[in-house]
Amino acid sequence: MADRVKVPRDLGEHGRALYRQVVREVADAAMVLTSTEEFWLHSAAEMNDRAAELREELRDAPKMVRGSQGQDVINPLISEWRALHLAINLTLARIKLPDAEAGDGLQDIIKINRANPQRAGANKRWRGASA
Amino acid sequence: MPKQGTPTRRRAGATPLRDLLVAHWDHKMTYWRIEGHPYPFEQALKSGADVVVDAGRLADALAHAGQAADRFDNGGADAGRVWLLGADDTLTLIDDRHVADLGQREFDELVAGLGTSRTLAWDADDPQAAVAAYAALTAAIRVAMG
Repeated sequence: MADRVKVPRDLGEHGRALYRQVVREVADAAMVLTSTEEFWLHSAAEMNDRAAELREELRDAPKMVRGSQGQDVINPLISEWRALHLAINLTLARIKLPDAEAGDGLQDIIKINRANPQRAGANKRWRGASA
Repeated sequence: MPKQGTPTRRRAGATPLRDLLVAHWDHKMTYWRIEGHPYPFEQALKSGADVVVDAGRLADALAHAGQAADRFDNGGADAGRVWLLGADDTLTLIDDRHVADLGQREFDELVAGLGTSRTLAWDADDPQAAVAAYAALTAAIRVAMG
């Protein structure tokens, strides 16, 4: 298990929390992220920061605002917040976390070694030939 | 129950899947065991060596333990697949590349792992040879997996 997780400095509080949690889960499974997965995770963490900012702004903002034609429309911040969450979910889903597919309560029993040549290569690079 | 958001962690050296397979095997063989007959699957399973398990066997063992087996049962996402269960209790999918040198009959017998009681391809006169052949084949598959 990774005791200390190296988190990119440009991330805010919420992004850092997400980044740290994912890296710990991966480390607990004795895996490392590929460079592509690290990029995806960083993107998701950045978006998590933006989403948190929007959520803060929305706290006291009206749910409905006046549109360009004078009609009532939903606050665009809400749409943006929703889009950000969708993007975060999609980005995180691309990272093959251990047992990400297990929703049947078997994750403590079944450990399937899915083929992931990139990760195997990364493991070899970082953990030596015995990995 | 682990705290929500905390990654579940397995005790070092624990082999819950192998334990579950052993429990189901012993239960089943209460009725079917031929006394004195060496079963290659059982020997590999109980010695902690690499062992071949198919989805049906996993589904049966999980159901016997009261766990959800749908994923491995007929129509499930992992139905029909065959894995190599390693000493670290992880499953690695066996695909055609790993068993390219095996005939279908030999592969079926490897999956069954019952030894000479129903072996046609292996030496039916020597039960221990079937056990050795099983170990050699699983080792070859492990090498093929890289």
